[in-house]
Amino acid sequence: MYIRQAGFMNQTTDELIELLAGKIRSSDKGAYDDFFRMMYAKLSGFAMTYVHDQNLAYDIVQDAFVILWQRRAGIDPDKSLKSFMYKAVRNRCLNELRNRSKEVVSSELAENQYKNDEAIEIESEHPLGNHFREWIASLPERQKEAFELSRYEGLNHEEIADLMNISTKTVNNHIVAAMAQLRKCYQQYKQNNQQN
Amino acid sequence: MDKYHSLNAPDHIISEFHAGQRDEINEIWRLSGLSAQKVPEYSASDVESALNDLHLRLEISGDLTSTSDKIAGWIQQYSRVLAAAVALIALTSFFIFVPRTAVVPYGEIATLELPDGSVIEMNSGTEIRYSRFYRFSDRTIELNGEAFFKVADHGHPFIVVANGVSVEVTGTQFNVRSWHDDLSRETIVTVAEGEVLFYPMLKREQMVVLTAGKSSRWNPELVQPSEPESSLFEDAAAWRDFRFVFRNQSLGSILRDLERRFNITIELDIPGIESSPLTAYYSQQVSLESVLDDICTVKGLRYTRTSTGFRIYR
Repeated sequence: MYIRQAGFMNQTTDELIELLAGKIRSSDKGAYDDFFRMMYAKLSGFAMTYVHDQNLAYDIVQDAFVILWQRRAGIDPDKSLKSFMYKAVRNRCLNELRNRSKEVVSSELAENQYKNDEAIEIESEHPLGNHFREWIASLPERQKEAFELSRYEGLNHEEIADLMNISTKTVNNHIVAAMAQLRKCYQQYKQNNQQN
Repeated sequence: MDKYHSLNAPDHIISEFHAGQRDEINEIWRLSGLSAQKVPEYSASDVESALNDLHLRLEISGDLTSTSDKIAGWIQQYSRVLAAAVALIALTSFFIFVPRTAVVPYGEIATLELPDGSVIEMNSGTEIRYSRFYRFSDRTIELNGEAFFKVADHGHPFIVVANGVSVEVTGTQFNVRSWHDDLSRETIVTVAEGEVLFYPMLKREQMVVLTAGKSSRWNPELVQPSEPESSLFEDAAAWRDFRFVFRNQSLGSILRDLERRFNITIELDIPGIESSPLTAYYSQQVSLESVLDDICTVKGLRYTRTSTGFRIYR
């Protein structure tokens, strides 16, 4: 089963990535460069959502592409190269956060600190944007991650499953649970607004 | 943000909700787009410089590890004796895998002979890169700038890569103009002798075949390089005699040519005029001032000296 999802990473992009994957596998440097150009901004943004540090995000994305070239011969033609890259970036980000959290007293503290940083960094013009950000931040960690990968990174269920090391069914369950929770928050918000 | 607004939630998620809830779920899916992190914006040159860093890292780390892998078995037996040898090999491969780079200073034209006898003549400010194994592996040259190639025929292809496009030949003579700082990242190929295949990188099926006296251009907006058209090779390669021939060239790009040729900076204080096209032909070498005079006369502009060059204003 291959679930395709409407998204800004559309089908032609996916097809192009598949084509590039084959060429990278056979050591085509031009294809590798093109893939880099294609994914660079996306992956940098993705790394930033974890580490909130531009230099660190830069290094992490570079690392991920080094890994891709070193392991190019082992690229699985049946799996998405996009999720390979997201996975490589995500693993490095999580390692970084883990290392950092040792420096701080506890990981919980560190997490709160990053949340605060994030709140300062991005302020949405639309008031609902901030509410959604809060609601999404309060979701259980795995649900939140699956939802964000699907919603903001445009990954399909198979890619998310591969990345998070869970089944596509579980991916779906996580996102459905997240949506149900967001729906509750949104309804409550609308109710409060009507009362005011 | 717009791209987040028109989307519905994926079917597999929607189908888990009652029919009566689905519109609301789609609405929440759309609204959640409001809190998307912005994708960072990078200019093409940011991306290229990041890619360049990556190339350097690959050339260093990738090949070092493969060297030490191969001799891993030995090391256990003769670790002390071999430690020094391994370090030596590692150092050597560090050196070998860094590509050769040639950069022509502003104000100058340079000629370079490659190990296979091919000759590259490069305009001011041009940069090329090629592997130290050039002769033994592929004959690929990365180009940023403008160069005339006289390729020795060894049966296997010689490829110039520039701004996302490939120029493939066996043995011929041709000129390639492809500056990374060109606004439309345009590449122009003009052939003096023989046959040239011109195609967007990875898309050999889109190739255009150019013969002597023909030229074609490509930029990332195009699917295929332009239909070959007749073109005076002397005009395309006028730079080799330190001459200028501008055919419908944008003012911005002309000024960059002047900056590189005369090693000065030219400020242009009029917004939006960079892309305005200009045609001018010089049959012999001319001074910078006389080119500036001509440009300003045609475009109704004036220029003045600055500490590092000139400033053009209205």
